[in-house]
Amino acid sequence: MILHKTLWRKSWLESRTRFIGAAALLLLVIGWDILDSEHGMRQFDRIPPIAFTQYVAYLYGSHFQLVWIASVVMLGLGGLVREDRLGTAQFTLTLPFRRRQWILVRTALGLIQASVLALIPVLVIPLAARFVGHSYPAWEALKFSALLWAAGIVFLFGAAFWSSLLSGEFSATAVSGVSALLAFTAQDYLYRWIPSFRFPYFNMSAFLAGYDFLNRTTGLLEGWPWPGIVKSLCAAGMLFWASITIIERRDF
Amino acid sequence: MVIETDRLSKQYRVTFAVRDLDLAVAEGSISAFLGPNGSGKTTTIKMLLGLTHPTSGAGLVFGQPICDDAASVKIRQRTGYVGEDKRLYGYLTVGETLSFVRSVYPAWDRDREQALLRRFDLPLDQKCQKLSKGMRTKLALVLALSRGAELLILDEPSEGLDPGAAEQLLEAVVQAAADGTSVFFSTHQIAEVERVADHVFIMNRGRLVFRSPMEEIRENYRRIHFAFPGRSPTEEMNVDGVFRLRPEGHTLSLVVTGNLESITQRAQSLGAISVDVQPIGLRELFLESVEEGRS
Repeated sequence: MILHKTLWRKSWLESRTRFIGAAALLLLVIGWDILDSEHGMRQFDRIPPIAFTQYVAYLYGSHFQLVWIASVVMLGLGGLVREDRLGTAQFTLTLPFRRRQWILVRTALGLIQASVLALIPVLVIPLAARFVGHSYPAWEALKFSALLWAAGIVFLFGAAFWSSLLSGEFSATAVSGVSALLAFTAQDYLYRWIPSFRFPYFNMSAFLAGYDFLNRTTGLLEGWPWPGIVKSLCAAGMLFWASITIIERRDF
Repeated sequence: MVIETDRLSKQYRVTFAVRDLDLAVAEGSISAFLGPNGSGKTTTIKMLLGLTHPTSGAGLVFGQPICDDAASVKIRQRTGYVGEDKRLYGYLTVGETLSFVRSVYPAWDRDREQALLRRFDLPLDQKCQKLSKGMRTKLALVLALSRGAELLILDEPSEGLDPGAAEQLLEAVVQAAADGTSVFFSTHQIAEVERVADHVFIMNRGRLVFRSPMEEIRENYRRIHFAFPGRSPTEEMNVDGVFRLRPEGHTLSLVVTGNLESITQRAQSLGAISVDVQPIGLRELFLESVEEGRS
């Protein structure tokens, strides 16, 4: 029944604006950063100047992370609790589908949409690079995109989790944003403020940029952060399980 | 029975929205579900459709347990529902909404859909968010009636409708029942109930306080006023067949469910000097049932 086209159609219709908006945002930011790379690379003021691949690696480790997280958070918003606020949840939930099916399809579509968004840099960076006289291997962009996707699903499922708890459009967005910020910064503060804090350190920003496997001379990735990928998948899985549990127990 | 509940309850913190509800709705019947605002009608309907989880008790629709997730899907497959809110997806047009819901129900009746669309004069190209409440109700009704449902559950379907639209709605409901669909509807419009329903259930403060076939109400329920020379003998008159009993000075007002003759004889043996028997309408019965709960 998860393959029923009605479930997918509804999920697509309700998420398409956010998806297209996120795609446009990514396209704009990446496209601009690459087309403006001469100016961007000059900002580093290095002799010899940094290589284009180093510049791209820098982009993956800087504001591009913020744009990516904002994009996947947008994909995770919405769902049955929002529908409850809008007054359509009764109509949806009296159709002959289980709540779990609605969530599964919405999540699966979110993952597909996140995958498509993650492919935007793979297409745009090598293509735009040619316009400014550089080249960038698509395979390298694909590796970075895999990291974006792996980290992104935590924020996607995080937004879905908050959307299953909070009915307000802005409250779910705001709390998802704050959670994302905490995911990037909380551990640093915990280590600083609580000397006895012993939780294994996991730097989300470094994971997203592939710092542990980045050759800083070439700006290319030389391996895969598997522990980080596994941690991300586990966190996403837990958030997904929590969202389903909350929605299935909720009264509408 | 198409709907059966056994001590079905829903509690929100310390308040019972529905308490120990024993409901039995016969197959093929048009059953009206009455009650003041907040009496538990909508909560009951939501529990029957799996929107809300009961705190305790059990319920069956088509013999399927309402608390079982898989069974609830089967119930909704065979049930048409028009909710209190009647909100539909604002981003779809009327035509798209029809096609959307049609794709879910294999037994969709295209002829009935077309007939209802003609009767209700719905604009197929208009977005649902632009529809008036009356139009939304009509569309919700088309969606509920065309899916080939064996049970129609309507939660205050005529609320906010003009008299013409309400009349169309009633006609559609009666037609559906004539075609073999069981109808269970909540409403505040007692005149509608008297016209179309064959069974009545009245809720008050979460409890079922009255149930009866309409025919029995018409044939057997009566209001009797007895006048006594002295204090009216309240306790002595509380006999079999007395539904409600209210002393008013020297007179005693009774609502009886039958047994008229023996009640009259008893009153006369207790010294009643006058007897006045009148038929009782559903409106009075409703008020009696609800008043009892308040007192």
